[in-house]
Amino acid sequence: MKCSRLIAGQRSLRVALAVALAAVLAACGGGGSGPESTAVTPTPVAPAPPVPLPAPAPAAPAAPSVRIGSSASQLFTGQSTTLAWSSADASVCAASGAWTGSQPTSGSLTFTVTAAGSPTYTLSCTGLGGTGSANTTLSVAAANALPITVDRGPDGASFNMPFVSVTVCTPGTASCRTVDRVLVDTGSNGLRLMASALGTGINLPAVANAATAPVGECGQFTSGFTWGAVRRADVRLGGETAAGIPVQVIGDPGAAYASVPFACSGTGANVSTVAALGANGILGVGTSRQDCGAACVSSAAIGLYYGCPAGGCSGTTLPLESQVVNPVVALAVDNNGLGITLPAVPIGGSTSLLGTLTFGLGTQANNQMGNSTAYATNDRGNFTTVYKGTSYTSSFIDSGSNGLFFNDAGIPQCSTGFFCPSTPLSLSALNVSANGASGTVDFIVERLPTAGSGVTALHAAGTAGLPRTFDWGLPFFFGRTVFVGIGGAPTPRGNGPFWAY
Amino acid sequence: MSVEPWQMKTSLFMVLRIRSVRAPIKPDPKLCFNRMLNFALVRCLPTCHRRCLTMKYSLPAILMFSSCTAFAALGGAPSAPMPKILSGSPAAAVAGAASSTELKTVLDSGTEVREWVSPAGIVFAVAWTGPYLPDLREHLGSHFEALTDAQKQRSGSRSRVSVQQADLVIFSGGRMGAFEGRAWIPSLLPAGFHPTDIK
Repeated sequence: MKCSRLIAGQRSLRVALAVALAAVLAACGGGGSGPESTAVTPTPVAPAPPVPLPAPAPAAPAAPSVRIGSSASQLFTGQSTTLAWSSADASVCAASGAWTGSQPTSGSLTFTVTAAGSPTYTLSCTGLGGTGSANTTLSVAAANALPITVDRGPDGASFNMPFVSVTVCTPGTASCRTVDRVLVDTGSNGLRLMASALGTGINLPAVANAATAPVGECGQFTSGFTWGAVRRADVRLGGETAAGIPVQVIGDPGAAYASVPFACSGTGANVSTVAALGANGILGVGTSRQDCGAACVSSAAIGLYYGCPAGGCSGTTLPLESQVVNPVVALAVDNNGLGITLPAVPIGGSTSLLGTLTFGLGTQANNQMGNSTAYATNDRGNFTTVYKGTSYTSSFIDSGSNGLFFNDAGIPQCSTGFFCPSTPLSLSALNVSANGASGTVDFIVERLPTAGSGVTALHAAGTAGLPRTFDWGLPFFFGRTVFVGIGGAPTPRGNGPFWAY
Repeated sequence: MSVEPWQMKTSLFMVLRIRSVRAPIKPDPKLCFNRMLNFALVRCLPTCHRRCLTMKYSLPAILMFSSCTAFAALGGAPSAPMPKILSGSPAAAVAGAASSTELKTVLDSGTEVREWVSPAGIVFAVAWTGPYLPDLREHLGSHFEALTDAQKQRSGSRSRVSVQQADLVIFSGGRMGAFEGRAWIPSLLPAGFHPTDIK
């Protein structure tokens, strides 16, 4: 926070802002040391003790006391907050830390925070009895960013799964639920949340098809299907909101969605529970705008969307605006793509890993694309990876894959299909895109950790067993920022879809 | 784009390209009858129901047709009708491989399903590629449960399924919008037919 800018440009004394001031002062004065205020630390001014006199000395002036607090300590950039302060036995006050200049002995200041960080606002007040000071620290997060945690997941059995917290609200209301451990998945599009994680008491309106039947969805994943309702919600991602967008509520208890359509259950295992999915939901932030698109507008036989009137569900067409949408494209700003940043992971793995999901490409100071190279994809988000002389033309980057998956018969496998080399391997492959970009990727393959190691992130890889696929799963993100350009959206690297890193 | 190499390769096979609404080829009545006895009530009819929605056939036609096609599975008869191959000699053979026939079905969703069939009419391999998953219950038949069991293993991988058993191999990967998978029964592969041919 630039102090001079704050004071010169945004300072506005709100003496008349009695409500906010009173609230802050009450919070500061009532309980002593709340999180938003600090105790007074008087500093005596008179250095030398006076020579004792026979006559009783006059009472020494009281040391000044100072209190300062903020109306909100947890903020996103772009939000405003009010600092309010008061003092006693002081004649002059001076600001330091994240602000400067002389201040009245009591007052308030309302301003907009523009930079992420933890600015500390200190006020020192001086009177006849010395100087007292107090400070308050704000926690300012970028509005277009979400912290990522790679941990063991809701059931303690996961690895290489990046999670964020997402808040959904009944559209236009303050009736909200925050769901943690939602998997960040660049391999799918759209937000899906477990009904059990949403709990009761929040009412998200159902999306209906042209025949006014409530719409259910069979979310198709390689690891199984998610069945549930399509409903509308305001989706808050950090400090930004996608208003009134269709999301999937997996395992919705509504009667219309009670039975899984036969065709849906034919696509694989039912992973519509937290235990089966290993997450409380999926935040699909891939290269597409909707999870289906034009195909589901014109055909009822795609197998994703079902109309569910009384009597059972059957395939339905669905207009684009009713389809489950990549939430990023529905943000008011920062909606042309996203970046995922994870720290490097040493051989042997990490027991905790914190990263960042940032929305927008080149729209803010924190989402510039730097010297990254964009690899344009086809309309399905695929490019070509060449590994050991073989071209894999349906290759992709997928934060929702918990390993790199490719073909190499020369690497020993464990029973689960993961590679288990006796020592870590250093390998490389070439990524090639239709726009002419190409570049070598060096990567590591190591064996899975022993049970109980607590490792949550490691260079895991396994056999894809497929003729066209090289799946760059989460280990690809270690030590990188990977950008996702969404189809049709203008970015500093041209229109999406692309991957850039 | 991604299927170009494959398309070149398929010139080696006789490929029956079948549109989403399948050609109403009359099936072998005897085969039909036996299969109806065995499967129709259990699996074929519900599957048929799904197809009724997309094929716009009259109910009798659906019953007749689907009973011979809808329950096709790995280790069983093909899902695509094979009027010639079942009764005659294979129409195509791969160099070095015993005779086998590749059948291709394009679903309404745009997903392609390929089945490799032995001269005896047994599907020994199946592969799929495309934006949405096909009916894997139908195509894997009795082996579908091996797939779902693998998917339910929380110790396994996300976004990729690997079943590598002595007499069954299934790989499934990709993601919503771009799936790819294949499965085969090693013991049924014709001499000279290699799993890399399943693509």
